[in-house]
Amino acid sequence: MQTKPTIMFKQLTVALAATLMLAGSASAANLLDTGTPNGSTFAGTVDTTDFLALQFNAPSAWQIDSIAAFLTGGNAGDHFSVSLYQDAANLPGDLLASAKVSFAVDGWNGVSGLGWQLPSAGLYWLAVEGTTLEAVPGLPVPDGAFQAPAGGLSMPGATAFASGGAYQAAPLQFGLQVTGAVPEPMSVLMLACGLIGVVIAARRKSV
Amino acid sequence: MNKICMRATPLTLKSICLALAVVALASTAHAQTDPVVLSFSTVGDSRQDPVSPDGTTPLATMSGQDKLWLQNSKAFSRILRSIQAQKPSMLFFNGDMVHGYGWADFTHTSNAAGSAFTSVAAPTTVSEVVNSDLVKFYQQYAFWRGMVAPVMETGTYIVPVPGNHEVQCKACGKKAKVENENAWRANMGDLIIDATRFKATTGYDVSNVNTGDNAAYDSLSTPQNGLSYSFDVGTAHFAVINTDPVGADGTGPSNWLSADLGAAKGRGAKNFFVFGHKPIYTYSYSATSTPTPAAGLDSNLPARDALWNVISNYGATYFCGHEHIFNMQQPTGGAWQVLVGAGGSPFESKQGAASLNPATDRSYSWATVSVRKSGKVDITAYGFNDSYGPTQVLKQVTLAH
Repeated sequence: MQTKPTIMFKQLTVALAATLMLAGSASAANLLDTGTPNGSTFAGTVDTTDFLALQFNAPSAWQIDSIAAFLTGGNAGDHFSVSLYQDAANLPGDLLASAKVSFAVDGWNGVSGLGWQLPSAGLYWLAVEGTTLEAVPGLPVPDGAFQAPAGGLSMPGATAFASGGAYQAAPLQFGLQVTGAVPEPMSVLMLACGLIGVVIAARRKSV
Repeated sequence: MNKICMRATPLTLKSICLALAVVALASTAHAQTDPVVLSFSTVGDSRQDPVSPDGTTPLATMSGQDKLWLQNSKAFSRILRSIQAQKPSMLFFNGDMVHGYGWADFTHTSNAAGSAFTSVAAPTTVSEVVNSDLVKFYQQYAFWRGMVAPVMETGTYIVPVPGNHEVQCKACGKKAKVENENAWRANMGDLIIDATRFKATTGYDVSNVNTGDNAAYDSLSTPQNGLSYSFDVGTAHFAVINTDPVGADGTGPSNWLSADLGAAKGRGAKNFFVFGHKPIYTYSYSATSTPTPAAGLDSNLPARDALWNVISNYGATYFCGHEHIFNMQQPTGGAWQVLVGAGGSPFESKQGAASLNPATDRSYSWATVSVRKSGKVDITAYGFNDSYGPTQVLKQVTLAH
């Protein structure tokens, strides 16, 4: 038979765990969606020379879980990379992360399970590249050449391209979809309330 | 999409998911069942102009390198980088890789504009030798060969096409000279066509190589070996024609081409690609009161029609340069003429001038062609504007076999 203090301890533990779980979880969301290109304007190209990048403003420290780019013209099995850069004077700056994406069909091609955590709210860049400007250990050099149809898209920020050198600002369009997790203010509030409750309960128990 | 499908209970939603999956699988299956079996790129006209460069590359700010060797090395090197990334097996360069345009022997020295030359019977000084048109031709050829050499090393064989700046002498009345044809062979002959090197570079066997003297077909006065030539790769046939042979400037060897394409068809060729420097049909880009100057082979209409009929009858595609601009057209509604003459030379359409297709008329451009197993051919033209903006797809067509 369990004693009363033991039961209380268990209740406190469960309450604490539940609070932490609720606070720790953030809502999965479409973080960025340019929409699907309608091809009404010229397509850009993506290969080991030509890269496309899009600036975005993260209002909180997002976690990016998946990225998909709308590309055509590749062969099944080709691959390209998606890269996350810090912003540097409205151009892609330091590389934060990069991942390989396999091309399957004309249309949306992406990668999931990234778990890229932005260090803070602020401006960042996502790039669709044939390779990365900086060597990333373990990331093979992609081998595809693709077209990035444009037209009818809603670009949330500035855009830039690189062609065998550094990124430079240029107006352009390409399809990009990003999903991930957004830390919710309510969750943080619940964490605080929960912790306060745990402390109060613990004090009562000890009195 | 999979997660949505798994959670869906209504029959209609399941049906939509199933249909989408079938479409996706069908797309993948199409790409896998009709793979690309051969690809090549093509561009022309990278030479710089020592007197009248484009407004974006004025002499005052042109690099000493480009002034000396007369290349637009910034535009051309970017095109070459992009072509390397696309990994074609061949790059056909449609002429005017050098400024040339003189009389390629050591007794002539053209002025910068090429409008006149001085003659020295027997050069005796270093200056007389190094300033001779012969040395200038060789210098410029060597620089261009150096620019394209890395492309050869990454699996793309360079196939050169003679242009008027290689074979003609401007101060001679824009007439082709046998000395210039000889300089062409001396500087390009090793590429035309080295089957062993072709195999080592591309992995493909080249066959039915015809690089002999075909001048007799069209009653030409000088040997045309290495100037008009042809070869096969698999079931694709490639023919290069000299559009400015000595004594017949501004014409193509239609008799030889007819015999050549006929022979290729007889041995089972499925796809026919012809490369020449001058357009058969001028692209009239001007939207100003000044009409587009006749630049193609259309100054001699019977000769033009004879050549185009050959191309049209065999369902060939004609790739060319000379006009420093991009254009794709079907002059008679069937076969395509693909003009990719904006490889770095001063644009035909001048800065600020109204033109027919302003979105592409001042774009440095090239085309990459994919031949599929079924015989279908995808032609994709790429380019970037005179401000060196993003590389874009300018036009794409698929030719049914």
